[in-house]
Amino acid sequence: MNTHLVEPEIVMAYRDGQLAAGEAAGVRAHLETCAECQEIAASLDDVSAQMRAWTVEEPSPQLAWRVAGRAGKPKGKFWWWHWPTAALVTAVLVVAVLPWKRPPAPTVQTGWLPVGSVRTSESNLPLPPAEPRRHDSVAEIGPQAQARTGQLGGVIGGIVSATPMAAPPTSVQRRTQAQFAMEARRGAAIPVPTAPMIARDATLNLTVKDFASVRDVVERIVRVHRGFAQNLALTYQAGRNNLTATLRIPDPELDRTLADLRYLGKVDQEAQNGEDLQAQHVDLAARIANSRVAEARLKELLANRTGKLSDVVEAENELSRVREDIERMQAQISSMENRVEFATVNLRISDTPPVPAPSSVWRGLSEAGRNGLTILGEGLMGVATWLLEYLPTLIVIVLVFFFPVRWLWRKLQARPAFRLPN
Amino acid sequence: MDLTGSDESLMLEVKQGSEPAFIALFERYARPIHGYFRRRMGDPQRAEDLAQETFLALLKGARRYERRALFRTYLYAIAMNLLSAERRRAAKDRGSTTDEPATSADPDAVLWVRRAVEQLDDQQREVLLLREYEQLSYEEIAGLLNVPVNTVRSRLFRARMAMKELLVTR
Ligand SMILES: [Zn+2]
Repeated sequence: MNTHLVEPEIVMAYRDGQLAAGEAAGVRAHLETCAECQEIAASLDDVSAQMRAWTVEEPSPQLAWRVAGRAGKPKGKFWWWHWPTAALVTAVLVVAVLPWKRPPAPTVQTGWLPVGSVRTSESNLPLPPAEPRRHDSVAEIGPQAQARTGQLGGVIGGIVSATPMAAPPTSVQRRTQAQFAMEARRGAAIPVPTAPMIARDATLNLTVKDFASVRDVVERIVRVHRGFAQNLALTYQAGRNNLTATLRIPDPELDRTLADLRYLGKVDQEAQNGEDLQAQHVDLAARIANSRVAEARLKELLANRTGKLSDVVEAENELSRVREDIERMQAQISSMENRVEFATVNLRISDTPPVPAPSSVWRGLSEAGRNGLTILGEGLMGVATWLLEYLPTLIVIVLVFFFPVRWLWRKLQARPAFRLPN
Repeated sequence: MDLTGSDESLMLEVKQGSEPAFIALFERYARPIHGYFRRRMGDPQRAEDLAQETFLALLKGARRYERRALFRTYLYAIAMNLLSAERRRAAKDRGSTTDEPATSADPDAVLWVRRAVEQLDDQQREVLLLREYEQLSYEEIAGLLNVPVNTVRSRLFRARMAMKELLVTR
């Protein structure tokens, strides 16, 4: 039909939605009345409909992986924005739990079980709450309680057996470990605190007459009780010989070790302290177990890769984050267990002070000078003692705060997530 | 950042080094770009390789991206260049193109459509595929092939009319 106002191509453009609104209205109106154009439109539609049969398969998940891999290792940015919060909460808990001001008197009654005591640990401790305790990450894996139960046992078992044992476990230790393992297996989806985990430390200051042999004797005592000297130093200050040492003694041997040490001379000062790490320990173990479940889940997710790049990237990021987390917590837990297994003795032994005999002006002056040095020395010693005393606490706090601070730092750096090639 | 924004605004974010924006674009276009190569090539593995290359080239050239062209035109231009380079290479290697996108597992209807498409001349086929499968607008196709919109329209019309004949003679 030569006189036809609307070209077939325009009908097609109309069907493809490629006409401007005004033009489209005109064509629509024409189509309603023109059978010829309707026929063109119908056959165009039919061609398109038949062509839709040619579908292609989805790209393989490898595509996302390869693009993600080649586009540069992305920095973790999407996941774990919540974990610094968790770390902060933990830090607050730790700070609240740790005794900042330690009582100078022995605190034997408050926590630890004396060797040979037959009191059951359960009687010492408040009953576990019936309500499940919420750990910051426990909630995530509710449906996997079964898996976690197994994991928890494995984790704790692994940690316990991995802890260096200088001596075969004594009854108290064996009991503690067994209880832990049982606890883990019985497993209660919720780790329930029942066994005490006391980290004991003692301070002992002595004055001895025969300083010459004191080092040998101290080392022999430590050896006999299957402990070790974490550090040991001999100093000469203000005319006195000093031996300062940090001894690590298997916990059940602590009392006998202290008794042996006391025999060396006159006791100037003695203090004992016990800190129950059990709640923290159980909490950490549970969190490790949770992270292990998360790790397994992520590995599974990566094995059954979906094709989505964001999934892949996120899963990779989270996996490395989870592993980092597990390592950090394991370091914490083994340091904790080490503190429980080996009590700490801060030992200071001095020989008897020399008889002051200032007879001349020169002697008077040098005496004054020596006193000055003594004061300085004591000041330094005080700082050192303070450091020794609070170092474990400081380390825990630094560990806990390190990651949030680093996270904040990275956040503030706000670098682009990946580097654009030139 | 708005990851639901236009392709163009996302691409500008990519230019600034935004990974999430790149991911968003990848997720929008991974399937279409893969489909682009898959319908034009015989080897599924190569199709995927080239899809990968397309996104990497997109990333690589991000610094030079300007809002002068529609993103889709830009993206498919990359794909088209990679495809023609691939075809040149294949032609040199084997002396002839063996771009037979055949898989015996295809159902009859698919085979039928593919055979029909193969019988079109190159120019008509490309316009038709870009319209039917990549669903580009006439304008985008024109920009991509560097021809006037009218030419796109007439090639497309002729391609569809030819397809109608080819499909009917089944
Ligand atoms: Zn008409």
